[in-house]
Amino acid sequence: MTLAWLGTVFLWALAAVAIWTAFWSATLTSWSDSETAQGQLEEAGPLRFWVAVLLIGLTLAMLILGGAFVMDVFAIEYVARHSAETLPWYYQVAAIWGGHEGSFLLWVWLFSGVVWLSARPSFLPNRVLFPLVSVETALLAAYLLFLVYGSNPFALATTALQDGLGLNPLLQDWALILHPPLLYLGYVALVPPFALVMAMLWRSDASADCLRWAQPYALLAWVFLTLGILLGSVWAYYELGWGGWWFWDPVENASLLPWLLATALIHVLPLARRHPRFRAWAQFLVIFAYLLTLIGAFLVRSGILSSVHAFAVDPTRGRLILLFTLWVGVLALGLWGYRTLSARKEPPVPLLSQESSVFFGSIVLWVMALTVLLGTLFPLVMSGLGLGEVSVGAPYFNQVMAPLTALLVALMGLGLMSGYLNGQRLSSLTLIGLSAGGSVLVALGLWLWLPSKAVSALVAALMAVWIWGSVWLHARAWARTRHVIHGRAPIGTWLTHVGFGVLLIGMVLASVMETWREVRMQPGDSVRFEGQRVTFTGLESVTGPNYLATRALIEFKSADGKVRRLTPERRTYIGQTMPVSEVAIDSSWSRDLYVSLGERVPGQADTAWSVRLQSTPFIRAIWGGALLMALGGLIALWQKYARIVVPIRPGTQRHGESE
Amino acid sequence: MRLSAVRRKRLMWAFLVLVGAGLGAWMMLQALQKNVMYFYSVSELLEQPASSEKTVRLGGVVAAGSLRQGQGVKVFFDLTDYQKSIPVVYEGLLPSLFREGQGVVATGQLMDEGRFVASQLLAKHDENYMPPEVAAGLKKAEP
Repeated sequence: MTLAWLGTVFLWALAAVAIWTAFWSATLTSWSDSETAQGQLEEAGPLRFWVAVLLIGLTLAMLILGGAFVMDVFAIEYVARHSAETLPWYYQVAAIWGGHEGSFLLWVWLFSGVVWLSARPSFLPNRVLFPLVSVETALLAAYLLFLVYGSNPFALATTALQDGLGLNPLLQDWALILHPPLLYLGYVALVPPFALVMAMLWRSDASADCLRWAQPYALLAWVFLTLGILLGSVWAYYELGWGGWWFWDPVENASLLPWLLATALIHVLPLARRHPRFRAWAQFLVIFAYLLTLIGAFLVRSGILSSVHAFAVDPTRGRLILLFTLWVGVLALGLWGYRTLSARKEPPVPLLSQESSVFFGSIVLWVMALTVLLGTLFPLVMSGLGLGEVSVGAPYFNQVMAPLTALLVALMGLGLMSGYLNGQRLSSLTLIGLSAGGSVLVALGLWLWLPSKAVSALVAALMAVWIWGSVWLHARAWARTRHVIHGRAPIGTWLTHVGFGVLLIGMVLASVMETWREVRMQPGDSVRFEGQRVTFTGLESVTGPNYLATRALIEFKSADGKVRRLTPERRTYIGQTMPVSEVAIDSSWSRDLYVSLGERVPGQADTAWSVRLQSTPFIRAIWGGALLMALGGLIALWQKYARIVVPIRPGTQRHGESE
Repeated sequence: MRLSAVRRKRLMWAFLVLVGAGLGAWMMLQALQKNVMYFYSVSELLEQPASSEKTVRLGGVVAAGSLRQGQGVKVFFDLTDYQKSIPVVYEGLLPSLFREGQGVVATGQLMDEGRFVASQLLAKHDENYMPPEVAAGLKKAEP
């Protein structure tokens, strides 16, 4: 009781602090034009203090909710709905983000964390710090009000329960402990760039400073989104029991959209810093990226979708988020349009250059985001206009994303090799032609070696070889100029792009070569699958900490006599009626053997079960490729921006930033 | 009227961009139109049958006493909106909580002989949950 009361009061107080900080820093922003620089300096300290108060307050709120979960305070409705006494403690902690209210508190907490981080650097001049903090805390205040007014995790239950209802069994998994925090970190890291751009537009600042300071956050967002999406995909693969790794589910799309924009941002922001011509475009992308995180929140939290991710149905919530999104969008894009129209024209860059490749690549990424957005929102618009209930299936997304990906890869290669093309004896066009021809030859060789002879596998091989080849040329160009530039090797850039090639090959091979069979089996039955003899040898009952399970013993015997035993389970958690499938996977580097146990076949002798057998080649390449990309991002983050977080000692030489 | 070289170049660029954007948008809408799946309630599908080449989503309740087991993992059942019903055949693993009396959404084609061949079944993860489209369809079918 006291905990609930304490939590609610806390959130209201924090909302008040956020509103106050937003107003105060807004006033400071307008003052700082007229006052002397000296006067403003004294205000920066207290401002940072209130930002820290917000972070500490929300940390305490998280601790209170966590405490309520661990101490089984079922008087709080949210705790009662998402926990139970038998739930292991680590899932009780993770249950904080197991539903709408708590996961939104997590989001807001992480939000306050990046606000604090972005206001911390002492090199930020007040003319940037004040509007930055003002925009960020205003947004934070809106989120906080939405949290405490519309979805308070500390609300008391109307009827006191002895025990909680338990956590959704699908969420009782290690990947689900990490997946939401990683994604939310990615979402909130897009806020400082947005606030910095708004600060630029607010004060019609023509310098590139704000874009430079936005760079680390864009990269941070990209790394976390990559990891978050990867974990979500891994989780869907082994937890949902359908054997797929990407479904073009609206909620997956909600996380992919900001990722596409973050990818564009990490390339366009450094570009716009050097070339004023791209500044307006970079600002537009930053605003768009932030709006997409809001649209994502709308999709997930409005309850208009039926999906494993969708939270409870509550139309008012959806309407509130939609209104807020529209309001922010109109305000931000309006201000952007006004400033851009009145800006002066800047000189163009040559067509065949790294700059234009990056620019066109970012346009492709933006168009990708638009097509995904169109496919995701189309059913909602149709339904909203009363034109019928429709859904847009995976074929649409695959059909439009494939050519766009090919275009993106072509530009990616051109951009990477452009540094190498300069100052060669042969003309750039000849060299590009040679690289393309060489890629085709190598890709043909790779294709012959690959186990799939599908045309799409050849295309994937060509794309991967094109990327890897241009990374190699990029590395050669770097080695040639390293004595002049004195930068650190851009290992992050190389790793990430190599990883993307691996990912492409994995995605295509896993899609075209996947085979599966769904069969009915009883103990003693054997079927042939993928050259193996699969025998259902028996069943046993298992008692877990908070579930009962039936475990099937399934034996795979390959032609060479090697035997592998897999044990898929079907679990029923205490207090839940829905049984969930716990799949068994035998992984090797080139393919996964996957077994999931379905239902006991009704109307038959008691022992017959439906079983899904699946072989997914090269799914490791998908996970591995995505991991390489995230690792590359982390290395780049460390190499370029560590000194922002870890203060540099006086006397340490700042190295030139390489892109 | 003579255009300066710069003007002409700029005009050509604008033209190219317009053509490219138009082509892209057209292809996008084509792909969308081809892959949109309409949702039907049982009565709606019987009143205006979709062509057997078109994949549609059919929502209804699994009729009590209609579930039959076929060869292997094949099942037969009727989907009903308590007014009319359509026989459905499905081959594959049934979703958790697929029961008689449950609301489900089946994705598939209506064959000419009046049987619905489902390639995917969605039943929801919660006893009391009814997919929103199914609930709306039931309401519409009420006399």
